[in-house]
Amino acid sequence: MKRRNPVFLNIGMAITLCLLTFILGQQIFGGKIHFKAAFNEVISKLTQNLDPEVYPQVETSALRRYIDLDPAAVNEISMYRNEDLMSAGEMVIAHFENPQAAKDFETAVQNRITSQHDIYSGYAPEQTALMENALVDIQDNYGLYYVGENTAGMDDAFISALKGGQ
Amino acid sequence: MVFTDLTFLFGFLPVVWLLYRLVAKTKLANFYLLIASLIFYGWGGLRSLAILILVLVWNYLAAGRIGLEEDPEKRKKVLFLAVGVNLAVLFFYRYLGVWFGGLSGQLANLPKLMPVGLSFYLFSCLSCLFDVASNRCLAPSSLINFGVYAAFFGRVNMGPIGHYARFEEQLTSHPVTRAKSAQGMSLFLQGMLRKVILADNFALLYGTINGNTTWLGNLLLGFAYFFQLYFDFSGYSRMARGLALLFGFQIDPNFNLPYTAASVQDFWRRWHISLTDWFRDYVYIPLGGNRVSANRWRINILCVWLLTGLWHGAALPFIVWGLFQGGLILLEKEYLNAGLKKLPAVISHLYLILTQLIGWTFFSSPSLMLALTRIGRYFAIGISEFADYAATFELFGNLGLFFLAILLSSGLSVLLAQMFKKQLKGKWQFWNTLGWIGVLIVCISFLVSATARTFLYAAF
Repeated sequence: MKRRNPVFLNIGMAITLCLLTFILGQQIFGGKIHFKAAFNEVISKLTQNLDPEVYPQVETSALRRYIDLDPAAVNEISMYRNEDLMSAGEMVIAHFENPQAAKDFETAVQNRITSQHDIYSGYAPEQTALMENALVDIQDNYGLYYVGENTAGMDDAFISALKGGQ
Repeated sequence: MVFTDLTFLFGFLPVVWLLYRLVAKTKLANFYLLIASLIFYGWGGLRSLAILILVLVWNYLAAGRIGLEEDPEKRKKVLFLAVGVNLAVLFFYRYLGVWFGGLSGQLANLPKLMPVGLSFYLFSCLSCLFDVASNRCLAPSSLINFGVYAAFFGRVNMGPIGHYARFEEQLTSHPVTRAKSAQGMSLFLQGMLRKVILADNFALLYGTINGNTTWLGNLLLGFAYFFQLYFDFSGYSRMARGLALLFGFQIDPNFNLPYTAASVQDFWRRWHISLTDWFRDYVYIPLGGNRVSANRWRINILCVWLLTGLWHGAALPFIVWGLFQGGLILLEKEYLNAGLKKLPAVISHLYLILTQLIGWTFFSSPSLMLALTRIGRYFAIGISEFADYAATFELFGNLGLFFLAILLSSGLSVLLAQMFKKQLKGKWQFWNTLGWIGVLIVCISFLVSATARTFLYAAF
């Protein structure tokens, strides 16, 4: 086997390390990734974990009844709500065009969490606990609001869907 | 892209495989495979691809540098640097955000940005560094061959983790034969059956019964995860081995009927074998293995299992799960082994099932408190009632699924296949092929109806 030059190897290692440090540094300081995943794909991956008979899709026109957000302010939005009114379970997925829309979405769902928590705290401790663990995850141009069991699993599914299903 | 994506099944795989047949006997074979693997990986994001390429280059150069160094002390220093950089990348994505995420939102976001399969391909690369440093093999002479070893699309996302010294020989010669292709397709379909029909339906049951606080509902929840994890990961591993065979590579089995084990030690010789081997070869034995004082040996075992837990995740339940497995192994080695051998096979088997059910409960629970609550419910502590309508409905609605799961996880399916083979004699080939075509059609119909889920172990 041809003997390699240690100087070249050292230089190569130094350059690789610099590039690696640069990319990792960018992940902390370079802001968030703009995800290119299609909205329908994200919806499809997330709703796999919901029983469609228990969590039917809410008409977009009825969205305002649940969260104080103009559906036209976001690029695309879908909401699923547990049919049982005694249950707090619900999920909203939104696709934003700009950072302001993401901020408005976050404010709207935080208000929803507060009001729902107040409603359930009087008589339904289990639903109150669900509201306390409500998941709000904004990833640049996508947002997820989820109330239900296994929030960590749902968040993982959300990230996986944004990364392209991996 | 994952193996159950229709794009992969009907686009990427057939195109890559057919074109490979043209270059298989040329010097371009591995180069072609590497490019195909990078396209497969890059499908999920270019940043992840960039990190994969840099990690490959770093380890290739570092292994070369280690191989050149003749002074043992200097060799050790280069090895520490090379391993340190790999562990720093893993720490950056997996642990920094979980442990120090409170300091800043960007840090907390890091685990979500972790490239898919990072811990799998990093461990394959580390294997190469350790093997070169301990003179088990020479440093890789070709970056292309090294890239195929660590990033082959069949295993870059979820392993099985490679052991360089054992795999090295195949990198220079991996001829595709008709027998290998037939075996590869069969393994791929077996894996798909496990993933799409079993694991995904157990995932559905897990989602439906989650939150049920009755004894029966909680037990169903535990067993739903117990089987989902097994069929998900063993299914993926079979698909990976099948894909490797299609391109002429032989990858050792990653599972060997683990739920038929009679002790926890035996279980870990059968579950995620590539990871267990990795920790044995590169952590346990270098620490002294069992050729040290009794106390040091106990520490070695716990250390290996703490690291195994940490490999799976940074959260407390993973650490507790790792120490739980290590504790059980110590207990068996010191006190239980003799007793377990004398017990009827059914009892020792029940012991294994119960311990692993508890183990996976730690593993699947988002918090330690919830894990302990669920474990308590197995023993009727803190249950709302014995069973309710929902739990009973799910039990009877999924009896067939559990039956199929037991059949496959106990190895009875292999015995049944052998029995049919004997009885059908000459017609076996026809019925076998027809059966697998049926499995393929059912799996595709599940995939098309979008009931298939992402692989569980991709999160690790």
